[in-house]
Amino acid sequence: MKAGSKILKGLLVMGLVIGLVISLNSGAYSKDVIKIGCAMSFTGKKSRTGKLYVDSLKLAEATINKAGGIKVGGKAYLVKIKFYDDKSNAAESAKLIEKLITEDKVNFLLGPYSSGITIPDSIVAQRYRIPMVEGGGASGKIFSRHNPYIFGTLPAAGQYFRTTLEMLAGFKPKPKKIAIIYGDDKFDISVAKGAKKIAEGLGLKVVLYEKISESSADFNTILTKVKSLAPDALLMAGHTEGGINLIQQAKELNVNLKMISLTVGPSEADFRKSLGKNANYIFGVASWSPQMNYKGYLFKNTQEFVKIFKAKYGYDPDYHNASAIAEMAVLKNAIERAGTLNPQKVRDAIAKTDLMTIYGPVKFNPNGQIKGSSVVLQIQGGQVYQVYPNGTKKPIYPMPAWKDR
Amino acid sequence: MTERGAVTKKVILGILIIAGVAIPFLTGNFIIRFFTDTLMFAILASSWNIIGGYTGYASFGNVVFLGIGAYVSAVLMQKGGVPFWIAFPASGLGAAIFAILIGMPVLRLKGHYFAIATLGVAEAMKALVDNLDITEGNSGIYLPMMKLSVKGQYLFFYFMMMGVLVLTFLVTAFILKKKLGYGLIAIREDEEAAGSLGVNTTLYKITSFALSGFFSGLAGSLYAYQQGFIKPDAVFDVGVTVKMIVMAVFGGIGSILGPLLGALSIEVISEVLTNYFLVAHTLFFGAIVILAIVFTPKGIMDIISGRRKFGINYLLQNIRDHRI
Repeated sequence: MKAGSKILKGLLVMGLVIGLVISLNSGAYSKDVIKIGCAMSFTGKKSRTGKLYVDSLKLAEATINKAGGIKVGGKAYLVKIKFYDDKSNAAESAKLIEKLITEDKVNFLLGPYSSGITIPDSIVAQRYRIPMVEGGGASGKIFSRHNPYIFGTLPAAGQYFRTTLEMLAGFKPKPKKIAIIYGDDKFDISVAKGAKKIAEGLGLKVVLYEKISESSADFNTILTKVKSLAPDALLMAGHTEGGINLIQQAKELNVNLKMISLTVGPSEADFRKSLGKNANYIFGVASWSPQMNYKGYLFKNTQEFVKIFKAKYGYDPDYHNASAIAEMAVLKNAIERAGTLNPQKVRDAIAKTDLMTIYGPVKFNPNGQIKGSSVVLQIQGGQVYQVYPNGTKKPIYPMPAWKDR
Repeated sequence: MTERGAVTKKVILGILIIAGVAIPFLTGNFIIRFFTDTLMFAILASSWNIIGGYTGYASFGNVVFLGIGAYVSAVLMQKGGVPFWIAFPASGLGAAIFAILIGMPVLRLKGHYFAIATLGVAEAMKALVDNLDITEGNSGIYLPMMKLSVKGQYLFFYFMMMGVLVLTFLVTAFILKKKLGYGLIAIREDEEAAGSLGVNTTLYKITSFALSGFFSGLAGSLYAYQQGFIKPDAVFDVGVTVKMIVMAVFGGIGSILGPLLGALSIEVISEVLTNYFLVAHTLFFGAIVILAIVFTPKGIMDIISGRRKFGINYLLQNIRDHRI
């Protein structure tokens, strides 16, 4: 082979490949379709959870289209979600958002899974002023910059105890001192950090703020400390097992507080079974569970969604799935209210969202994150009730002392 | 290298330069970003090539320099309010200084031991950054937003990356003509013999490692500024090290243009596959890499150089040579 022909060949191959890359991106869509772009983790470390979002988003897409699509100014549009695989990689994801916007010319964006990937994506969305609704990142960091184009349907870990603390601050006489203890894991640390900040903002003094080792199962030291400091309430960010141990030992040491609240545990049947009578009056928080029942927007209600979802995919939906449904509900609702596909107008409509979904009520804070969607639970008579806000039962506060039960 | 190979190389270089300058003005933002990322990997692979290819020390922790570069820029700009044009060189220097400090003990090791030690260094650094307050731990850190039009930003990052890559090439080409370059190759071929011939092996190895760190650090700085937000698990990802090594090998270890061609082909192949196969692309990609290593273990550069005629015999000869 001559050098010349070889160079020519090389050139051809190179041109072909580059041409291929460019031509591949010109997706053909009919005019009456609203294109929504989503870079999700189909492969890599985050693919397991990523799949939950994909399943839900596809179900929402099909449900919307079956019901006639999205109506914009009297005209019905079908929805088409364009997915790409971000390989669980933040740089890859940001690049794909770029591609969705500039090559696929999507109208709106859905978020990826996990906060670390959501932030770079949201920065790209901001550069192009295209609204992005995400249901996979809960970190307060996503919203800390007040990026006007990002809206999140997961409540911040740091906001987990907000409703609890708001309820607490509303009691008369107003409690003065609280204690916060938390397990050694990223989520719990964020919950505790946020709770401390909110408590201080509400004028509650945090007299104890300490990391605990849940695995040791020994809470004597920390409870002795709590007893001597005598706070009105004890909040714990931890897990079910630790919560059970804490309550048992609090009874043994006769630590009487006006309120004990746990992040995880009270909503679970196991927790109530293990503690029996002692579980009564314990407070808890929850964002979403398949046992809830809200009137839906895309589906009739939560229970119907759970049924349809289970029939289609064969597993119980969790809060990731529900959050993804909320993403699509928010977009559809905002587009219809805006009556246009103009990204800026739809963004403004999203900001004013006030919607009931199977995931619960969706309203956004000015920073774009969903408003206090966690509810306060309390165990009363062996059953869990929502006690705040607008609970089915009134909260029992203060909790009766151990000896008076 | 044969006469014909030299001509081919010049022609390819010419095409690359023309395409490199023309691409951003002919295409959209996504393509610019795509090539910006490709250029970044070309820098990383070329930097790896300095220590791994020319010096023969296969570092499995080179991503640590990318991470340090990214974090030096992030912390300086976000916490210190330092402008980018100061943070940028500081990132390169920071990574180079780290390479010198860590190189002193680690470069005493050889072969697998060196590879494992560097792997450990990168993981340890990730753990450290994960837990420091100044880096905002594992929740990640923002960088200031750039005040330029969208197109302006992409052009800026594209040409900055290209500038760093060209600098990497020029410095590599320069040292190869000097005593340092010959010393490094001598170390690769037989370190003891090189030492007995008067090559200051410790100094040479550390210089090589520091250069590798410097350019990777510069790339890290640009990466962080473009992303606008970085997290330890993304910039200290061992997968990035693997990718740069694969690219260097794919293109041709121990040649200047090899890593660039490797980065370009790997990124394009990966992009095309991802486009067609939402999930299965990893499988096909893996298969292509395996086939390439089996049939053309010396990389693209060996084919281009024209040392041996390309054809079925070339592929079979490679297999025989490497006893696969």
